[in-house]
Amino acid sequence: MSAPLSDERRDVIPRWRDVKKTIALGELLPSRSVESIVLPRDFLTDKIRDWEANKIWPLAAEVAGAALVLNELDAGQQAAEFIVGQVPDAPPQVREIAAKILRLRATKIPDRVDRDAIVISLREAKMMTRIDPRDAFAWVELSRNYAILGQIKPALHSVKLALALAPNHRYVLRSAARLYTHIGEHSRAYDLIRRAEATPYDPWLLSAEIATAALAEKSSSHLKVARKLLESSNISAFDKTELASALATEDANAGNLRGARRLFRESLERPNDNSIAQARWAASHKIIDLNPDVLRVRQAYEARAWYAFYAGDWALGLKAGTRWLKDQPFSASPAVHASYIAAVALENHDRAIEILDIGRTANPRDPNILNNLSYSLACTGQLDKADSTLSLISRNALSSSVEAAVLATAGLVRYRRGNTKQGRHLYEQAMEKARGSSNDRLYAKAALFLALEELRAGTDDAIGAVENAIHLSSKYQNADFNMLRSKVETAVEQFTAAGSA
Amino acid sequence: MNGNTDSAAYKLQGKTLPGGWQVLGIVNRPQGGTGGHFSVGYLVENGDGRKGFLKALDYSAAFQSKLRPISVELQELTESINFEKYVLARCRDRRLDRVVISIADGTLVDQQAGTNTVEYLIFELADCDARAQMAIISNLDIEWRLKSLHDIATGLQQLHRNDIRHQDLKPSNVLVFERMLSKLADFGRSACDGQNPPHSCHPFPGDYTYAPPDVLYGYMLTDAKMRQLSFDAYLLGSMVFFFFTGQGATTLLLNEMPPVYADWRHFNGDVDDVKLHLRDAFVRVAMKFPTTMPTKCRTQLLETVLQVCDPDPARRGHPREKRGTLQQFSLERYVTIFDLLLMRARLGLLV
Repeated sequence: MSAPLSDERRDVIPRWRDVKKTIALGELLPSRSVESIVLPRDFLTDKIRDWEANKIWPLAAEVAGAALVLNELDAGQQAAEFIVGQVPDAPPQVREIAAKILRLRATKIPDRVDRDAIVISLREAKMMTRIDPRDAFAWVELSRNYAILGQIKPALHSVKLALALAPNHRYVLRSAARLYTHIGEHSRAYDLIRRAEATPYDPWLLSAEIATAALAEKSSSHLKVARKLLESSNISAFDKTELASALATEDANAGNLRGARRLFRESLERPNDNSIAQARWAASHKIIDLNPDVLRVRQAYEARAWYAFYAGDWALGLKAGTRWLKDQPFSASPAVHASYIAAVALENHDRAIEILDIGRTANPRDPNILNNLSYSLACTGQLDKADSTLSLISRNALSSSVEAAVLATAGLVRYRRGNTKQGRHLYEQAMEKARGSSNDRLYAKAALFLALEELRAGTDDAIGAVENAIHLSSKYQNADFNMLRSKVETAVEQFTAAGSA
Repeated sequence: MNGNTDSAAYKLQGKTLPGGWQVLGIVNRPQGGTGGHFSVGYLVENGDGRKGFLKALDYSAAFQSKLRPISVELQELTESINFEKYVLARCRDRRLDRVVISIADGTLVDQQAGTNTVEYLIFELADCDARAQMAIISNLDIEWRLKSLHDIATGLQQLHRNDIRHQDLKPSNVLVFERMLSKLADFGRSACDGQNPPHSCHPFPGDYTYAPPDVLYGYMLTDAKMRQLSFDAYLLGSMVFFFFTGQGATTLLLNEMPPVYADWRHFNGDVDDVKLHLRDAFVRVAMKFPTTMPTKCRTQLLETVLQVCDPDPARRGHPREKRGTLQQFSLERYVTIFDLLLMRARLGLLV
């Protein structure tokens, strides 16, 4: 079973959501003047008078439409009520605008990230690009949907077209950079942001530049400009949150913890979910203290998921992890994180399989996702499926830790098939792999999983395996290991009870 | 009506005007758009039973202005009425048959009234405007809509050929005669070569609730004539939206914009940025174009609105017309499109 992906490092890589949500979260707001434009004359009174004199729907629609255009919704109230209440056969657009004037909430469509929902969304985006191929946001949305479906080639093609149409737009650039980092092309992401003309003037692009530079293991070429921009009093604290967070991470990685603390504090003045997730990372690495109240910020699912993981609040961890996945469905991290909690901590394998199916759509070859899926399939008795899922993992370029996890899962499948000898052998191989790469934590964890399987199989070696696992894991005192040890203890009780019976 | 009800403009009922026109009674709402410059509307009838609509200019309103000197108000009022008369005379002389022309005009002097001079124009009397007509026709009556669109496009084309740009085309300025013929009315906001009416200082003198997005967000074409033609093209497309969705293009467009961008009255951002949002919103509007009409008709109408209502005025107009020239905004092809669709509808060939 692959544990949540490494928390060793984290960078302030841009989130990738649809443009509407990005705007709603305040990350893409235009400048606004305090004063309203003064109209050359009154455009509403005559229309209202016309409608009052002759109460027919087109006149009511005209009042409602004018109120919407002039952003004087109260003026259109009565006309809108008339349309909604008395004209059931008015055209749908007329009724929609009337409902908007009356602030009637449309039925909220739940965020669905299953394949069918994504295919519908993809078709819509495709249709939009056909209607007008100059719609840059439609190309980005098409790319995002392709990425969620794991179709990287068309995703890259679509984002390329968006970039050609809007090479300096914040949303387009950050979306493209996120796609490139998603597929591991960190240098490409960095070069894109670094070269954009808008970058030196835009805190949201500067933060992305610093983060992608770190991922690409390069030095950001805009650090000076970024620090200077951070001092600007013309930019709101919210617009600077990711920039402060990225610079804080830069300082923390360079060992300047004092500077990092100051910048993390600044990033939390008016944070977004990404800067909170970064602050949570800094807190987990003892760089700063984090007030848990900040986790209440909208969309801060990733931070909540990790916070709950470290706190051992598994129900909250699963909830936050699932929402994190819905928010960033193309990313493997939330699927691995949430499935681990569902499968191991809560032993809810059906839920884990559901989560992994979503994660697998976007990342069909991700070894962590396939490994976790195989684990849950085996735990639910679907051993052939578990084997075939494991066989999909390409073993060529696996890191030692992932290879160790895959070997352990293969061992679990053997145990569940009743082949304890082969199972034990594979677990031992996994432990050797972990120790070979100096990953003592993984070594200890594999030992705990091995002990659980030995107990479950009722072998003579079970108690020895338990003693070894408890010994190896004793130096890890955290919620994850505590939970695993507790499961071993319960299994020992059951094992002993079965023996005495 | 904004003026003083004691003024002469309000006391025409019962009077007989030169040409034998009998003033019957005040009309609550003048036909053809807003009363505009302090006008009062009357129903009139001449000796042979022909009815008309009289628009009387109320000079007294100018004396009530608290914002500007009376002399300026009066001068503007005079220039406006003279301009409108000029445009109407031009339309009449050129025999434009898809615009509402004046049958008569004149000046009355009332010795009893405080402000005693009344200028008036008499127009042919319409059944109703396009808004009222929409309330009585069936949702499925495509033929009427296509006929009206053909009339409107023809009317605009007639104006353009005679160096006039309407600039205020909207449902209330489309008058319906004999339930079938549509004509353009209200030239109070129009532009005409060689004329310099008071409203020409406004880049867009028309109704802002129907204005193209380039007006609202401030990225209009710089050449005045090109700009005015681009407005007319957009407003024609807006009429297509009105006939098939019940709302004008600008309302539909802003409805699809993110709220913070839709609030154009406070927008102070980057024009290139808002153009991207407008294009995206425009495509969303197009996605919702009604599907309850024959496919062929829908395709052609959708293509038309995509071309004439393009949020970028530099891209507005038929793609085969030469960009960057006045020809870009030629409506000739659209007159033909509406005509063809209408013919097909009449012959039952729209599928």
